[in-house]
Amino acid sequence: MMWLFCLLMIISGNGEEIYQKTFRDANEAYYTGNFSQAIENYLKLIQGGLEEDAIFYNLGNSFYHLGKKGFAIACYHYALDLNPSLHIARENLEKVLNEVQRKLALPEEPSWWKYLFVFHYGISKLWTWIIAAFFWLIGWVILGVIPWFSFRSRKYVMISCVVLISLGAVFLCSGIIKEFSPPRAVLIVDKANVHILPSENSPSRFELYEGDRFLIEREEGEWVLVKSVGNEKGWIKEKEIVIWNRLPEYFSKIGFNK
Amino acid sequence: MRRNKLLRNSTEIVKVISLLEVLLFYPAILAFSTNSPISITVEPSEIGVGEVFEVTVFVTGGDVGGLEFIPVDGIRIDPKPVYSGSSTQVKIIMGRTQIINTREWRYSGIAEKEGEFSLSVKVKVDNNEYVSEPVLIKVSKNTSSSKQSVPTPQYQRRQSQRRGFPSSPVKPHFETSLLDKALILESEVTKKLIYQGEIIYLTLRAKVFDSPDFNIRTSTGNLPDLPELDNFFVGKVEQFSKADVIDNYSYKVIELKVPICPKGVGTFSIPSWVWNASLNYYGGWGWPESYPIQKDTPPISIEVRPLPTPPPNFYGAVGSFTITSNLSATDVEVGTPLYLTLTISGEGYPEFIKPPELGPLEWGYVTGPEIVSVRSDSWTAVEKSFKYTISPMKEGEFQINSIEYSFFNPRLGQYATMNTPPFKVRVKRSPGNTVITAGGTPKLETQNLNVVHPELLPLITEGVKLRPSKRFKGGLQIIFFLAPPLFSSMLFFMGKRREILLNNPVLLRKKNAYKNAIMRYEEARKTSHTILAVENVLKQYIADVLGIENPLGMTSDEIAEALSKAVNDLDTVEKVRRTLKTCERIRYAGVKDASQAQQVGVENAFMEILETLRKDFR
Repeated sequence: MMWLFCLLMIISGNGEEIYQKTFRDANEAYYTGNFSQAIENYLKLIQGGLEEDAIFYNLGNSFYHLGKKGFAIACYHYALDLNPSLHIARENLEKVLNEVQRKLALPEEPSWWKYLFVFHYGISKLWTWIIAAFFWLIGWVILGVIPWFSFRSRKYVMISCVVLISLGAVFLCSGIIKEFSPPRAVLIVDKANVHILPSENSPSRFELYEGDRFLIEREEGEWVLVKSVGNEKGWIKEKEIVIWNRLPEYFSKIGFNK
Repeated sequence: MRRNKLLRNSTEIVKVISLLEVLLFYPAILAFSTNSPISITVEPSEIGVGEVFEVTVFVTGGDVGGLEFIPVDGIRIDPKPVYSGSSTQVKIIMGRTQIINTREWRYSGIAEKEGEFSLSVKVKVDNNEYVSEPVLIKVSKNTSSSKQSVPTPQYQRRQSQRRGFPSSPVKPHFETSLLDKALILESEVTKKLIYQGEIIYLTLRAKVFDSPDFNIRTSTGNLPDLPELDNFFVGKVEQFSKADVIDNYSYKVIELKVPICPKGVGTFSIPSWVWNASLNYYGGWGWPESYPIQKDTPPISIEVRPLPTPPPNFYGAVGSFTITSNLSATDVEVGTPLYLTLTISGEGYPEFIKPPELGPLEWGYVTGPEIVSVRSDSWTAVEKSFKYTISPMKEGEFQINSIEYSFFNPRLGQYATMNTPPFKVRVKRSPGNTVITAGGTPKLETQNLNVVHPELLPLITEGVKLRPSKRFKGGLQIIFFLAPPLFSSMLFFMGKRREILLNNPVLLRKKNAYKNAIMRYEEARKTSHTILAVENVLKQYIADVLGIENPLGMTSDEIAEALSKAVNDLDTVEKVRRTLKTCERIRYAGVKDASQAQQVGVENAFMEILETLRKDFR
């Protein structure tokens, strides 16, 4: 089905029009209460390579009304990763979290980390890279042309360069952190046992419920090592979770099983 | 003779009398001058029982020793003086210089009994013990107030001025110990060993001197921020004010009551409540003065225990609650929704109050619950209402079973379970609806019936850019961040090279030698003969390259010799020498007689030499 959609877009040569139609169809399906159809159409767009905050937000709404709160949480989180200023996604996320069994908080970074990267939380990954590149480029170019400046003004130019390059470096660090931060996931099944070892026979360490969020520390085959709030760790099956940092890949590979 | 003898004797008697006079009266004068070395005053001299007064003692003398109050029943004087000071005076009495030390002590006392009392002190001055004149203090029955107000600065200033001891404008006029008492901070919690999710109250208390002459101000002008309570959920802070008396000083008490609830299990600390304030008052000269005060409360450690194994109907509520339920109707038609409202009220952290599960009904489709109202301003009176929508899909008589709701009561240390009453519902056939059939999932049926259209969350439909995103590869990012420093280094070295050239005329001359030679030759040919132009320009070019000054005065041999030191190509050197010699010869013979062939030959040789040297020097 999906390859047909992609092929159609390639053949037609007018991808945007097909995207628009699919998006409209998805929205209509949503408003008529056909959430499964809406999800199918939004997934087509995602599988077609679209990564728009609005699509993930709408998809989150559809999942929510279909009762798939875990998927809804993942979609809202991904939409917020793409656009941290999408307040409506934040509101809906809060709403869904209030409705899940436990409003389990994500394991938080240490306080010193939060203060150090206080600027880092409200900026999307793309914009972080853009800002970093801007400061980095301007700083280095001005540093390169310092010999063309008079001796009197060199001191000030040098200070400006240091400031700009430092800003660039800070945003560069922020970008790297965002790029390589541990994957975050949410439970998509009603309830799951978290095992001490990556085996069904291993005793259960604790339980997670749909909508509970956690960090992924390691992945081994079909098992993942999760870290929940309070540094509780254990192994859980990969099929019971969705990692929202990799949501487009997830939907492209696995899709959504109603 | 006798008369003379008598006269002499009388003169001697006068001398003796004078001597006696001096010996007797002088110590008397001195004694008179030091007769009363102690003076004592009491302020105020009329007080009530329980009120405080101040005793000031001045002692004058060379060597002033310890001071001791003669005990009086009904009067208690703090043996530790609130002030102690001294001054030195130099006096000349009858031609003798005398150094007089004056010591001053101020003591604080309290009247314990009604009556009239005489106060006096014993002091050792110059190894003699003196007792002061008694000073009277009248203590009356005091019913108005037993508390002592803080001695005002004006009062103290009056005291000092009356005694002729102006206070230092630098040193605070009040004793530091007194100023330190101006602010007392306290913190406490209702319990230190609690259960997960249990509410406790943190009380922060600030006691400040209650006097119009004192004013405590924080840097912001408001109360300092609460301690960081990151490990706790924090409720609505309540503020109270009251008055208190501590050590006979009146205080205004500001009390903050903060409900807190731990976020997890373990040992958590409530950090100090820090006040960085300044105490403003009027100093010795009547000018406002400021005294910095930094105080904090000790941190409080709280141990949070996990909850015991919960019963099946526990949804997270911790505290003390009651549950009420209400059904919108008990007699309905198929498709007409029923609303079951559960209200949980009581004391506890509101976010932990989660709705119970209603469970699927065989005869109707349940949606929700939806939170319809929340009252959570005060955690002592929380109320949360949940609404379940039930869409009956079958006709008949049914029952909504009792709902069990368990919560953990931390006071009892155990779980408690509440039950709602069961509701009987009669569902009648709907005459206009024929879609209801048996089979299929309840969800699909309700969607087809459109009985309950849930409130849809709004979608984003406009302003969406529907273009596939281009993902940057990691390698591209690395290149993007490595390129600017490399590009910058290149630019920098170019700039540096330019700067070196500009600052080194010899190098600049060498670098531009060829370009200048061509330019000079073109110019010279316009104004002078070709032969002269070739000779001058060639000499100048070689001089530019080798850094030689005034080359025009040099002979062809000198130029060739200088060139041979820099260039290995001897043929070129020889060619230069010959060309320059030819030019010299033609110049000596007269340039006007030079043939066209000679000019062309010299010019060609010049051009060839120029190109060869340019390559060599490059």
